[in-house]
Amino acid sequence: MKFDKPAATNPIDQLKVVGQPTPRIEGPLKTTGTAPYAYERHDVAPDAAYGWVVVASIANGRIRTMDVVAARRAPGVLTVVTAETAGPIAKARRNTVRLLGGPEIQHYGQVVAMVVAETLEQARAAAALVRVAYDTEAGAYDLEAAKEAAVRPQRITSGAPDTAVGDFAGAFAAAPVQLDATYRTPGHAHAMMEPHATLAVWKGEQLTVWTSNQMVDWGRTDLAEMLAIPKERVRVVSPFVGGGFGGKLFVRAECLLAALGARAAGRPVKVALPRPAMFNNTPHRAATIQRIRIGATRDGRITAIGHESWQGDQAGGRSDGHVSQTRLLYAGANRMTQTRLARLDLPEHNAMRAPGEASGMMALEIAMDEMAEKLGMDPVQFRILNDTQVNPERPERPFSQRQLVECLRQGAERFGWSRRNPSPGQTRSGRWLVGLGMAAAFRGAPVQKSAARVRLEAGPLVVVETDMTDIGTGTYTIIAQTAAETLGVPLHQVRVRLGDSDFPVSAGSGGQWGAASSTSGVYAACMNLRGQVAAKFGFEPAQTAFADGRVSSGGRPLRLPRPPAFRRRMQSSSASSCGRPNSPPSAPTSSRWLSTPTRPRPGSGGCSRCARPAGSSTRSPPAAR
Amino acid sequence: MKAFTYERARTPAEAAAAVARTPGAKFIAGGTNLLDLMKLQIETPRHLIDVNGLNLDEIEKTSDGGLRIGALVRNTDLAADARVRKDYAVLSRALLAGASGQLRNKATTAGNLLQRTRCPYFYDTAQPCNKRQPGSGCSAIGGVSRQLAVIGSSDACIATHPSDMAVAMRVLDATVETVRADGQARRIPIADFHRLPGTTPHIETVLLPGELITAVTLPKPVGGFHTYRKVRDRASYAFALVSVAAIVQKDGRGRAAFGGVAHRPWRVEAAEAAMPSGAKAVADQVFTGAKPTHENAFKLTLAARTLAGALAEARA
Repeated sequence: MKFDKPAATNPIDQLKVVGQPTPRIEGPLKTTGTAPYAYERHDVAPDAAYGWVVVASIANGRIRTMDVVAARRAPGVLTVVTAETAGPIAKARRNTVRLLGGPEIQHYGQVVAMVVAETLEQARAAAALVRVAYDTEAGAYDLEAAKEAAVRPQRITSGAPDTAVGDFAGAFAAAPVQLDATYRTPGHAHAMMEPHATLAVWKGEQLTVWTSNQMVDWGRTDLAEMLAIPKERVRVVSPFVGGGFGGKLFVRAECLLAALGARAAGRPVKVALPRPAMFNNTPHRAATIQRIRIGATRDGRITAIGHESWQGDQAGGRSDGHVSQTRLLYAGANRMTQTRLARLDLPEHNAMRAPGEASGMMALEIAMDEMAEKLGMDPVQFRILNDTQVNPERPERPFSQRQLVECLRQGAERFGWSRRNPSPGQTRSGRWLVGLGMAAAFRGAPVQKSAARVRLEAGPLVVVETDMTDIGTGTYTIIAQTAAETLGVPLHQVRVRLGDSDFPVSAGSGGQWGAASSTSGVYAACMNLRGQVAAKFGFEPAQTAFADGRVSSGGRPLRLPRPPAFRRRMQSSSASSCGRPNSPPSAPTSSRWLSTPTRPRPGSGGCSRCARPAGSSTRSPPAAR
Repeated sequence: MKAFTYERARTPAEAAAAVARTPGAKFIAGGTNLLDLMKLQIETPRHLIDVNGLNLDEIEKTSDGGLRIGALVRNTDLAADARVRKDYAVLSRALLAGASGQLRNKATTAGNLLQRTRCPYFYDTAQPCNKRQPGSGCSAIGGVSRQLAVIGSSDACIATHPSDMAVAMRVLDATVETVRADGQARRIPIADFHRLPGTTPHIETVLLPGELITAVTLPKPVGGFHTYRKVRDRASYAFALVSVAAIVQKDGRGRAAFGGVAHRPWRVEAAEAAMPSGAKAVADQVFTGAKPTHENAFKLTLAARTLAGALAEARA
């Protein structure tokens, strides 16, 4: 199903279930500790051995020698995995540095070995016996020092790294009021509650990993690539994720090491990154230096606005789009943005909670406040005055909808902005000094293709399967709501199964796209199923109503069919996709089908057709946000 | 963690003697710090002597009107004790500013005094650290030092003592009571209990091998307004950048001890005469001879301001 036209009336509009307050259906599992997280899958591998990682104690250089003799001989030890024992491991496309270091060391704390033992304590004790000697090389760790040598990256999330419109330099120089300010933001590290954790099991040539990952299909692809085995031989299961925030978009060291360890030990192996190892072996938000220049007339109209950013990453790395929001948020005829990426020997940078926007918006909005101060203007008024209803870099493109001014006015009213004392340090509440400030912010709303399979079954009635993940976001509930609404059944009659690469490939959880994309895929599958049910009864689909678990088309409502009433299960698989990268899919349209109903393949349950519907064979990896 | 043997002691003297005669032995009470360090192999005792059964968990009045706090009194119980809350409020406040509820339920009074620094280089066994491995060097000097000492440090170590409780004990002029391996008891003023790092930063107190803390006593109450102010990068569950334990009398006289700035709670009694003249005057004297790093010179300003906040609170 392709969402490329304005929405018409559709089953979601009933809002009987969607949009209604409801306790999360996965909530009791989480609050009672019975939601199965990767490291606790005793049910699937009661005999799992434990891995403990050894990390590099230098930041740049090479391993000269690694002595694992004592570790191998330690009590309970089954195997020791190193780059040497593992053989060649490809770097997956989505990673910047290799997940298993050696002999080359790319950053401090890079995993260089893993000890597998009968117990966690034995593995940890033996890991301390691994002796590594290094040849240290000088490295670059300071963004300030590396700034001058920084280069233009190929692209950032929002497109080109640099943009320019009009004559920024001339307009800034001529502006009666000028602001030229540089801001620095520190690096940020991930430390979500559930560490990166994986349980790996080989059955012959078939690998299954129970892991904590936001993007099941990316993980499956990357793991297969690193191990140089066909993707079909890898199954990734990640039904519950205890926090991801971008740090679990990609397979990390523990997942690769669990797979290598399980293969070497000949039995299931589970590995969690110890908390101290997380800071170096998961991606982080890079530090930035940002320079913002704003030129304005004395009455506060922006005539020139420029935003330059610098950040560092390893070779082959990338820059966040720190300047992206500046391209769209405020008016100004003369403008420029520029992104520079320095080479640093620090752990790799990658997505972390609003990557780009978080650092960039902060700098832009502080600059706007400082400019308002220079102008002697109210900061809300200054922003309202410089609103734009067109893309300021491409004035021929109006926004379809933009309500920043309304938002600012409503916010100002609700927060009591008019009663604010603009002089700092003047307002007291008891022993506290109290201030009132404001900032604008926005983030893109990207969508991705997302597939799901829906079927009618005895018992629960409606079963939804998709490899979509729940990273604490309530995915189970919103997907159940979508299916319940679309098929006209109560919420409790929907079962949702997530996070398994045996299920159709979803958008996954990342970059704001998860809820909108995955529920659209479920909606598409449900609409497909409605068509099949109508056909079974000989009804015209468009004239068929689904409500209270029944189907009707003018006459008496009939029960939704379910086994054994039908010879085989009623099932529908579908993928949603969106014609334009930034149009919202949340209001589906009357649509054309891109996939035909399929039966599950015996054995695997996988469904490659629904993951890649006809006419959409170019499923390119989206920007990893 | 390295393998170790374990025993439970029945009397303080027996525990002290057992540690003294067993190579590589250590006491364990709450274990909130020791077990973490053992997992990282920063502490590698070969034998643990559990002192939890020594009946040192009473808080009782002393004959001179003070309070005797058993070594095993848990931080939670000490902070909640009505006599402490009434007469030694600074201690109660300092305790509640530290750690978390769960940790305070386990952590003991004596163990709190003996906890090790949280200097990141002490914790990273891949890095040189004179405190962890004498003679290996100090990675913190010239390294990331925002959290570390500004005064009383040496060329060998710039670590801080992490305790909040100890800062309050210092301002209250507490006394540490111990029993030695030979069975002799002694009393050590808190001012003399923690050592400065000098050239031997791995030796942190004046306790002799095997010497066991049995109690901490507080002199009779001094009255006044008690406060403990702790400034940290995170509002909860973080160690102090700077903390101030202050007792201020109605006439403006008072005392103050500082945490987060040195290898031990930092108090300069001679500077307290300046208290009626304000925080700046006191802090200038307290931090005479300070040697901050390029990353933590802000602590000097912050300490003066934190004391100013405490004094303002006392006046209000």
